Amino acid sequence: MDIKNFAERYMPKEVIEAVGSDRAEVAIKMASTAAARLDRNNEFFYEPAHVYHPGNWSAKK
Amino acid sequence: MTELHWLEAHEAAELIATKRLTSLELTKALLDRIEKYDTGLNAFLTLRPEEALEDAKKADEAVQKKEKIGAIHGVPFALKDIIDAADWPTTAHSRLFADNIAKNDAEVTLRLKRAGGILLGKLSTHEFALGGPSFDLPWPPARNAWGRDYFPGGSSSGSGAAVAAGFVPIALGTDTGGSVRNPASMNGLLGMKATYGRVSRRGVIPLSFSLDHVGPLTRTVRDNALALSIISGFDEQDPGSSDVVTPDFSKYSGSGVKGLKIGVIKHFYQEDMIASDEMSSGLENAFAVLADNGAQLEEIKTRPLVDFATCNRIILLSEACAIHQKWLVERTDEYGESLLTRLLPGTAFNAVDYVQAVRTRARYAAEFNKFFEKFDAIVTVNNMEVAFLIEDQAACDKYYSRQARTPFNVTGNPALAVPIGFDGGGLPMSMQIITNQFDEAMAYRIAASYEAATNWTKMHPDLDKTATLP
Repeated sequence: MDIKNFAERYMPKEVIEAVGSDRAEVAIKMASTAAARLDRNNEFFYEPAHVYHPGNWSAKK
Repeated sequence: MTELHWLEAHEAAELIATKRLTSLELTKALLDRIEKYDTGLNAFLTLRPEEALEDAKKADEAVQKKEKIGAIHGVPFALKDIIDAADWPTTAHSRLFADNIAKNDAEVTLRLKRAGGILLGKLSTHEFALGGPSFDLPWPPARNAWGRDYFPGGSSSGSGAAVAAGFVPIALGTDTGGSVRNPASMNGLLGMKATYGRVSRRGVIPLSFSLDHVGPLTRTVRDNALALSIISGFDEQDPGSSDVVTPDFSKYSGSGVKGLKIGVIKHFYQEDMIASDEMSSGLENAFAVLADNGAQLEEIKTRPLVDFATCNRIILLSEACAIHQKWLVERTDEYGESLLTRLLPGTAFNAVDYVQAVRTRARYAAEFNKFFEKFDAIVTVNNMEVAFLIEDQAACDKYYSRQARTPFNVTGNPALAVPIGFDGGGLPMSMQIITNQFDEAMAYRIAASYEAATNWTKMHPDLDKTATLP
């Protein structure tokens, strides 16, 4: 199975109702294209802990 | 003396400090120029001449009293209108924020003021630093100082137009997918996206918190280094801020490039995308100048542009939609069409896409930074073409994404846009210099060597020809 083939994307219906189906259709196509292109290499590497630094939120004295 | 509006910030500061020029004279001259020409360029959204003149008088009094003064004492600057200044509007060039008044200075605003800078005004941007150029917003889009029919780059469009037009010597922009380097490229300016974490984003309306950078646009290398030295520094109230020493970047810019090893990424503009012939020739000429100056250039290969662009887009739009999704549903009609089009795909990505893109980003950054074990810097293309006609929607759709800037938002490395001349139609071209994390000084060193060997940063648009209304 091609691991890049997770390409079908959906938009919340509240957003579709707000922006209209024409805009939504174009956006979903763009999102699906990007999702299909995303590198899904499953190497374990600096797992996203690097985006959260507890020290940033410690109390300042 | 150089005409006041073309003075560099460091030159003006020196003249003011030594009482050969007053801040009031300079500020008046710039305000006169803005009044004369900005109707054609739309660079400014908000101007407060009385306030600026009052601040200039105070700056002159401080000089008279021999008070301790900062590096840009009495020199005007301007801010992209997503950067806060206390009691000024921060509109994000959007109906949604049309009545928003900032309570405090952004950290970068505060630092420029502490250095003695005079805030002249707030500048046009693409709506929320993403959608544009737009003609359906309460304010018109900024236009290119080298030809008002042309796109000035974005999203820091007013910042690029204002500096190139001689309205201010320093303007700040922001860069999430290239938005400092794009207007720098299209207006013939220096534009620095420093290392992620080098410059605080506190008080700046976020587009994508893990990719956003604040950076300076200037006409010369020295001013850019000076501006970055002023705005850099740790800020414990920006969770992305890095606690690293801030060098005086301007002190490193005169050492030449002899013996430096510089990698050249050509596949970005020869294979992944095909740049225009003039842009390709311009780049080859620029690289030849660096080689003539003694640098050792070697072609290198990294990932294709599409890999970086996909990673950037999924992170950027996912984070942006975390902010905008509620408004997209409740205040849809207040958005401009361009922002809606660019933003909406972000509502369709899923959590796995986002996390996978974040993992991918770490891997790409580690891979890319291995180059700096061997090379002092890397050079490559900025835009694939010069500016397109701003009112040509088909050209905008075709050319807007043809660039090689997003890789360095993904990796977080410093990337400096440097002017490399003009095409046959007189529109500016640009390259990028990329360096190791927190080694912005190296980028300035190389840019200064290139600048000294060429004449590009001394060339200015003739606004009587390029900025006047038809």
